[in-house]
Order: sequence, then structure tokens, then C-alpha cells
Amino acid sequence: MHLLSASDSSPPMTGNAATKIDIDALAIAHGRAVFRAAFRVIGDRAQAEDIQQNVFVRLIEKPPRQPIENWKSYLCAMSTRAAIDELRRSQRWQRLTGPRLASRVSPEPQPGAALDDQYRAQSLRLVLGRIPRRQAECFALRVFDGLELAEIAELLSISSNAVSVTLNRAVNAIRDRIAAIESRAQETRS
Amino acid sequence: MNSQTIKQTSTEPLRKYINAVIEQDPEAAHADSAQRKLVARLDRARTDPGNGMAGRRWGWATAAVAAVLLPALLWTSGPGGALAFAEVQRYFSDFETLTTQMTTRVGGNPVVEMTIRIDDRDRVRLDSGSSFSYVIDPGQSMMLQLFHPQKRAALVPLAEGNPVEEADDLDWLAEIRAFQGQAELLEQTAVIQGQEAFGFSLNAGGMDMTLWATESGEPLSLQMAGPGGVETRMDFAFDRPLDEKAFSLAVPADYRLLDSAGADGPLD
Repeated sequence: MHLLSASDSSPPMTGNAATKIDIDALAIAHGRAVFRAAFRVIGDRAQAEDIQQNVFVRLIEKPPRQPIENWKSYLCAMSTRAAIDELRRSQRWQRLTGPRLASRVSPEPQPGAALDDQYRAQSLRLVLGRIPRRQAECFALRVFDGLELAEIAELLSISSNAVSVTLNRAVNAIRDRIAAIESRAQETRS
Repeated sequence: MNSQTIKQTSTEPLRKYINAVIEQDPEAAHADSAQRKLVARLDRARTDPGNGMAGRRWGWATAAVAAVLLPALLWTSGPGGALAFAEVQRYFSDFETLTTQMTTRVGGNPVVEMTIRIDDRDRVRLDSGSSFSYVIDPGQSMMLQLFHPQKRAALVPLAEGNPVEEADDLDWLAEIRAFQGQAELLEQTAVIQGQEAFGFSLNAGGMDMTLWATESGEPLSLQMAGPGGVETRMDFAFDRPLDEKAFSLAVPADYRLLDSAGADGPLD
């Protein structure tokens, strides 16, 4: 499911300068998509709401200097990247506090639990927070937000080729880590 | 499927995981609820420029009370330190209100006791027992000083210019953000403010300190031991309702208003 559509590419500027952005119009048009983009990464409603709000407040404080061709992809990418940062922060906290406390903060997928969708979603988010940030960004922007490689490249200020390579590494890293999780779950079951 | 351009052999094992995330998308009612909160937040941000995004809290107003807080908190700017604070920092930058009770003891005897309250408009109320109170309102660019024993008051204009930008030089929060280091999780837990607290022991800038936080990382208390038997403890409470009157710049009826020239500090 892609978050983009042709109707998203009308820049809601109210004047010539990029600083005169109609934030209200953007919020009405894309607020829900921004919330959803954050939620897909973070998996928590309250945190997704915070990220959604911060995305738009940041627009007020620091409007983009360049005209934005596709606001929906731009805002969703901001949301996704902020959610990845939040995901990494929370997992860093877990590592810091150690297994004793980590399991109480945000339980890791438990080996032996049923491999249902909730378990799978939780596993993917866990892994996403543990691979390098740039890999996580490329993966989430491509897979969750449905951005094209060229769009990701522009948003991250890297080449399309670099996006492709990073994405490939991300998929491999995620696949390996998830395989390890599944393997542990299998061992526990047996 | 969004992952079509990725090699089929690579994505196939992940597809069920990707689908699981996408199929968990929030219900429309939840998105609507988030949308309402977003509109309200934007209204607040628009009507009160000082109420910016989370990371900009504790701007100008904080600078005004930084002189009080710096001795207790600038440990984060020194070499080494506590990784824990990288997580704890989020709570300091993302609050609606923050109440801090600070007590400094020498030889076990309290010598300084202060209560610092900050709201989501960056307004600050600092109370030093029955001696004096400061109310700082960056939106009004004014500070009210109340000297309780003398029943005197002073209204002091804050410096002109962009309050947030001017605060950058004294923004200890920025230094906290940049802090990297290690902290040791203590074996024993404690009960602070009625909550189970996890302690992190660290030494920074030659000071031994313990940061107590809840299991979710919310800071509860910071305890420091300095040279000469000086001990400082700061207890934090986030997002508790604060009385609007506490941040009023109105001079109490029984206080005499001084001119600003006489408002540099507590009166004799």
C-alpha cells in the first residue's frame, strides 16, 4: 500500500517564500498519513501521536528552504525517520538497563510464542531498531511508506544507487536477525 | 506489494513480517483522535510561539534559572558521564509541566531548598522557601521578583531579541543532549515518590551521583555528592497540573513595587 498519490503534489504555499506554508492545510490533508507512518515503525499510538505533532510543529519552527514537490511523501518520511530514532532510543535504553529491566520495559518477542501477526510485527520493529539507522530508514521508507528509490535518495541526500545498496543490506540484515529469532523460537518449542 | 523492486529472493522471507506491520495500521477512530490532538497542538504552537516542539523547551526562561540549576546539572557537560541521560533527556524535553524540588545539604543540614515549576509555555516559577520567588514569563518578556520578608516586588524586563536564540549560550539542555558516557545500573532498586526506581551510578566531573528513574526511564531523582560534604538532591515530577496563578506577573496587593534598579537580588 503506497501512501502517495498524484493529488499530493500540490505544494500548499501561501506565498512565494517557502516560509509561508499553510500548515493547517497540510495537517488536514496529511495528518492521518503522518500518524500512520509513525505508527508502522513505532507500533505505539501515543508515541505515534507525539511524532505526528512534532513533525508539524517542526514545520512551523523550521520550514524547508526548498519547495517541496510532494508534501505527503516529505511529511511521511519525516515521521518515519523520527519514529526510527525513537525506536532506536527506546531499544538503547533497554540495552543499557540490561535484560532484567529490558524485559519489563518493552518485552522482546518471546521464543515459543505463537508466530502470529502480532509477534511478527513486533519482531520486525525490534530488528528495525537494531540495524544501522540509514538501513532502517531506507527499508521503512521503501516498504512501509512506499517511496520510490529516487524519492528516498532525494530525501536522504544520497544517490539512488546508494539507496539500492543500503536497502539490500537492510533486507539481508533484517532477514538474518529474524531468522535468528525464528530459530530461537523453534528451539524453545522443540 | 511495496517491496516489489527488492529482489524477490530477499524479500520473500520478510513478506509476512512486513504484512503483519501494515495490517496493524491504526483504526480510523485512532487516526481521527490523533488528528484532533494535532489540530489542538498546532493551535497552541501558533498562539504561543514559545510553545514550540519538544526539543525547544526550557529556552529563555531556563536560562534565567540556569544559575540555580547549573551547579546541579552541568555534570553532563564534562568528560565521561552517563549514557543513561541520553534517554532521560527525552523526559526533560517533552514535558507539559515539570516540578523540581531541589535540596542542598552541607553536613546533612539543608542550606538551600528550592521549588522550580515550569509549564508548557516556558514560564518558570522559582520559590526559595519563604525568602524569595521569581516568576519568569518569556511570552511577556518580564520577570517578577518577590522578596517575601520585606513584602517588596520588582518587575524586571527580560532582554530584548529572540529569547530562544539568546538562550542558546546558556542552554544546558543542549549540553545534556550531546552527552555520551557510561552508567552502571545498581543492583538494588529503591522506592522514590512511591514508585520502584532503578539507580544509575556514575562519576562525572569528579562528582559521584546517582540518577534514579522508573522502569520506563522517567527520571525521578538526581542525587549528587560534591566536595566539602555538599549533597544535592533534585526530585522531579512531570506533567502534574500547576496552578495558573503561580505564573502570574501581578504584584500581590500587600507587596510594594520597587523600580527595576533595585531588583538585582534579595533585599537585606
